[in-house]
Amino acid sequence: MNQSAATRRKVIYIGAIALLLFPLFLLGQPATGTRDDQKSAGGQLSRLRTEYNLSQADLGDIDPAGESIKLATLGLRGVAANLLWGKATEYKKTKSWDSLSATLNQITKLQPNYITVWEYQGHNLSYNISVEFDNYRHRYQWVKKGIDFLVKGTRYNRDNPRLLWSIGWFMGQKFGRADERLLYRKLFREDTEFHEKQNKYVEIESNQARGPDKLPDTWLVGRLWYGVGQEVVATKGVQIKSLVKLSEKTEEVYQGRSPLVFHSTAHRSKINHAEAIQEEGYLDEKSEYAWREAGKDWRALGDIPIPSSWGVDLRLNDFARLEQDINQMRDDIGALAPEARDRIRQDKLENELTPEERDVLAIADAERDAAQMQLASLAEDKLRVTPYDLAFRSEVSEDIKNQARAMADEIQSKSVHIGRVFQYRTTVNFGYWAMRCRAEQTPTATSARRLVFEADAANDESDLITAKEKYEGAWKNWAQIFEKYPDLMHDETAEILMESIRRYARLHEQLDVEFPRDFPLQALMDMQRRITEMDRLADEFASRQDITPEMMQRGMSIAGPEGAPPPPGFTPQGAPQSLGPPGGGQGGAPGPPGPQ
Amino acid sequence: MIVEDFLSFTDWLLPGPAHTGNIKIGAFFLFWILAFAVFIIGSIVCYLYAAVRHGFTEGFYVVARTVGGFWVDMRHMSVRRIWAVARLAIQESIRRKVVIVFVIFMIILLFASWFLDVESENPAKLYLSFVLTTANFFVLGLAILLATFSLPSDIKNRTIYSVVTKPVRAIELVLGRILGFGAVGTVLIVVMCVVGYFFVTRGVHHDHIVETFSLVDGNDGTAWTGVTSYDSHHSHQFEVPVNGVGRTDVVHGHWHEVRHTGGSEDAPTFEVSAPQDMLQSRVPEYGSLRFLTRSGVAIRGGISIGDEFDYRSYISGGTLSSAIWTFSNVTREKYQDGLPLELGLQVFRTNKGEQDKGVLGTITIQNPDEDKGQESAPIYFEAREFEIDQLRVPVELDIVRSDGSSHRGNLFEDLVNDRNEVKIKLQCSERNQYYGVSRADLYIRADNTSFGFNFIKGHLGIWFQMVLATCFGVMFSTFLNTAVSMLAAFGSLLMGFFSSNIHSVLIGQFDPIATDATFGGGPIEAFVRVVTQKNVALSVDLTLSSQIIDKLDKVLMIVLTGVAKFLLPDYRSFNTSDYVAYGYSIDPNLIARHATITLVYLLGASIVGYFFLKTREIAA
Repeated sequence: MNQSAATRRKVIYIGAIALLLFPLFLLGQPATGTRDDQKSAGGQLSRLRTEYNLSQADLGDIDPAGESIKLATLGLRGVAANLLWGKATEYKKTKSWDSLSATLNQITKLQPNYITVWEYQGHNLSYNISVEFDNYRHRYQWVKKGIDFLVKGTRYNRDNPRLLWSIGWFMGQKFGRADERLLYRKLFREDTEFHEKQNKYVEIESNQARGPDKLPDTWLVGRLWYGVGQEVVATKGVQIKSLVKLSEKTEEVYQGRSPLVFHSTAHRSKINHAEAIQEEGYLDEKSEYAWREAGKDWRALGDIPIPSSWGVDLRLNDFARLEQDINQMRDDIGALAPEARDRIRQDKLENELTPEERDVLAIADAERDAAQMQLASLAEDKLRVTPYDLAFRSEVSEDIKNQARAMADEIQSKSVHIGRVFQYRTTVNFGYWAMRCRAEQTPTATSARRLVFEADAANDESDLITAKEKYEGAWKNWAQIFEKYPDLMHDETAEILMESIRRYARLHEQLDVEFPRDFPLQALMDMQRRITEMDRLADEFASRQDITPEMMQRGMSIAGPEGAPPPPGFTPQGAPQSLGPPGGGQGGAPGPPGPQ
Repeated sequence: MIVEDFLSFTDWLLPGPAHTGNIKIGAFFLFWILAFAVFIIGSIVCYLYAAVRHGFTEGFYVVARTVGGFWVDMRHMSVRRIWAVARLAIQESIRRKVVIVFVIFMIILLFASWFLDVESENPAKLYLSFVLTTANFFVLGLAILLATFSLPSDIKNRTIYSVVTKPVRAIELVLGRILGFGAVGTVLIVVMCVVGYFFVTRGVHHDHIVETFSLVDGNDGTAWTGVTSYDSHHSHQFEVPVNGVGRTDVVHGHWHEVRHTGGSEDAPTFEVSAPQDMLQSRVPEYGSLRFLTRSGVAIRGGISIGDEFDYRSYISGGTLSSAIWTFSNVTREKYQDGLPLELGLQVFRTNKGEQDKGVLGTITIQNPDEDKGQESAPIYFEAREFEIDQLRVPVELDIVRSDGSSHRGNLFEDLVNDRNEVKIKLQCSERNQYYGVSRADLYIRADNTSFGFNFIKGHLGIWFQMVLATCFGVMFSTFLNTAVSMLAAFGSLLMGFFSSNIHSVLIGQFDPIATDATFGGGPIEAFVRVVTQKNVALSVDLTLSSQIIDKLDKVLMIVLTGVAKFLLPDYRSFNTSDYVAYGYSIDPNLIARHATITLVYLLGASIVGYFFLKTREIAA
């Protein structure tokens, strides 16, 4: 190759480089102005980044170390991250915790905006690794490490509700539900270094975070973190859950957390706090205050518009209003044709029921066996007079029929809505917790719990006379509570109370005295006995071979989970079933991530 | 944390039961077998090549002449000429600005705090691993670049003529370059070692002051307790006698000495020392381990609790199940103040037990001579996981005889036998709880050596790797061009580093459900999976082509594993950074092994390089 050929080749190369700089400039020019200043919005790539909020500054802080490492991998970031994940798994297997911790640190520098890294490894640290340690102080440190890890994640992903929610969850559930929760919560209260760290993000020094001893409480600090997440959702329009198409071959799926779970766990925190301080021995006005605050927060949940998979926002507190509206309209429609209802029912009885169904309705309730009860229930469903029956089947003028039809349409629409609200309320046991908060904040409940606590303690110390006196005082208080809030007889409080009642019964044997005939909680004991019997029957029923899926479904709906009765016009097999949620799965509440 | 090596140099070199794995013939005989195999295969290949070029008879003479010439060259090899070539290599390295590597190393150290987890539970380990690993990669990269670029570019630029026209032999060229590049690498390692030492010691150094304090009634009279200031992401709790010296608890792998220096009761003054035991170099004396079952029957291994990581065996609490170590060389002269034991246990609980307390256990010192039937009264302790617990067995202690009677006795007189052996029995005291142990989990801390010296020994491992990489680089550069020789050298380095991974792929080929098998097939199947986007969990179709791929993969993996296992050095075994990082002195036996392996590869690579260079026309 001679000199001129070499020179010519160099000139061509330089020319090609210069030419390629133009498209590079057009595509890659960085933004130099603000987001709204279109003239300095930069090249095409920069505009796209701004449009989709993908630039690092939009997502969170920029980590110079992470950016340096990303550059240093020369485009092999994926490979490097993959290797580090492999190493992290190996270190976890071989219990090399220091190395694991350092490796996770490196992974996050490579993938600071990949939320799964923070969630998965944060969970790994707080839940899986912490339990490897025998010393509960070490376990506490590793739970903290997981929380710190998530908090660090929020620095680079400041508007991610999933991460913020997870911090609240770890803070509350991991510290507050573990076997060693009393030890954890004590360590947390005294951990001023951790408080200082947290104080940079949430107001841990505020009264909102302080428990009865004026020190930060795990559940209440968790509530603050949930609050930050809720604030992001409310003010920045970030979706908690969205439809995502993962690949060309798959259908769209929902990704993210259920909005109902997202909000309800936040508002359950104060209830959990109140329960926790009762467990720790606060059975006075402090626990009453905690329950009062919990009740307020729980009611506030009912006012939050919760996006549902039906495409409408649901408010749990709308239930009463909708119920009232439906009842009013039902009355109104009844008033249009006052005698029609009885006539239609009679007509159905004569023409739509089978002879067997008519026969079973003739048998008194108390005399029916299980199969007859099922059949009677099906027959009653068939006999139910709906607004549409009134609109279409009554012998009234067309004008009244039209009015009835319009009202029936509205009732149906509201029934569908209330059905959905009911389903959401049932999912989070909204009615039960509201009632529990009302009950627990009364001095009677506090006194009842305190007396049982003291009686159990006296019983443990073999002070049987004192124990008996205290128990008897407690039963009177509990009887008052159950009289006012009978649904409390179904819950875990009653189950725990039954333990104390059994102790009380044994105490009588030890004292060689007869168990009182006028025992104030006889109704509770009868109820628990019935529940036990029903559970046994349900097991027997479920194990039978001749049960059809329809019967099984009826059996399940009869034993509905929430204490509150179903709404008027709403039957699990009625309108909402035919007009209600497609599939019904998306609006439900998936369980919390990972083990507790 | 696994830092252990039980093989002595002679055990490693010679056949014997101490070897783990299938090959128990020892390094010495393995070397001669492999050398003979390489010689035979090399000769056959060379002969076939020569026969193709020169005919069958002439080919034989060519090979014979080349082999014969080697002995002549060896006899007339001159150290002066080797040094002259080495000097040229050094000058060439300086021209290539090797100092840049050092500059990059310094820059990385300057910004290290960006990348390191400053809140690590064991900062010393983190800093040491970082410094040693960074130095290792830089030096290896540099060694390969220097070694592979030099000779091919000399040949390409024809500057080699200025050397080969001098009376210089091929072996001198090869050895001279290895020596020269090795010298450059050595200087670089020395500088990195010095800089790294100051980086680590400065990095982990910190001070505390006493922040809160109160006067309490302790076991030994009144004492001050309190908490130090929060520095370097931690604080300590301490207890110190009035006007005395105490110590803090262990946090982040270290503790501090606290001295009460005076002051009033309301405003006492304290002095807190620099961190202790953070950078240390323990010399452990390991024993041999065996177990007893729940009913007291001797057995080789303990109980498996189903952990995926089966490094440790477990003993059951509240039964006769025990782990028994037998130590030798236990003499009064070595351990005048008693036996300083260090214990690192794992605990496995089958019930919660007492959450705020560790699982209780005992240590009993036994006389190995069963006819003596003597053992110490049990020494009770509370298990502490993932930290090193220190226990000292006193010289004067209560001895229990086989008949149950006891007396005050002496460790060395009553419990150490005539062969200076002693047994230490570990038992878990709590029923349904378990202790997990391995051989290295209980040892006698025989001595402490200087951390600085251990740090240097850690760099010696890097130096050996550097010499090996240089040898391979120079060897490949004698018959390949720059790019290919660099690729080959990097390839050999990677294969050497990942030989165990290659072996696990081979296992996966033949026994996919083995615990140490790797899924996903050999190189061809892996390539097919990448192209078809089929992950390792999915099985490939049982078509004819997949069966052929499977067969080819098996052959390829056998060859690759053979090369990686028997021809290439296991670079990973030279990495002794964990010893330095976890504070254990690097055993001289290990260094001797590494030195021997390096020397053997140096000779091997020089000889192979010599023959390749000799066969090239340029050197003829």
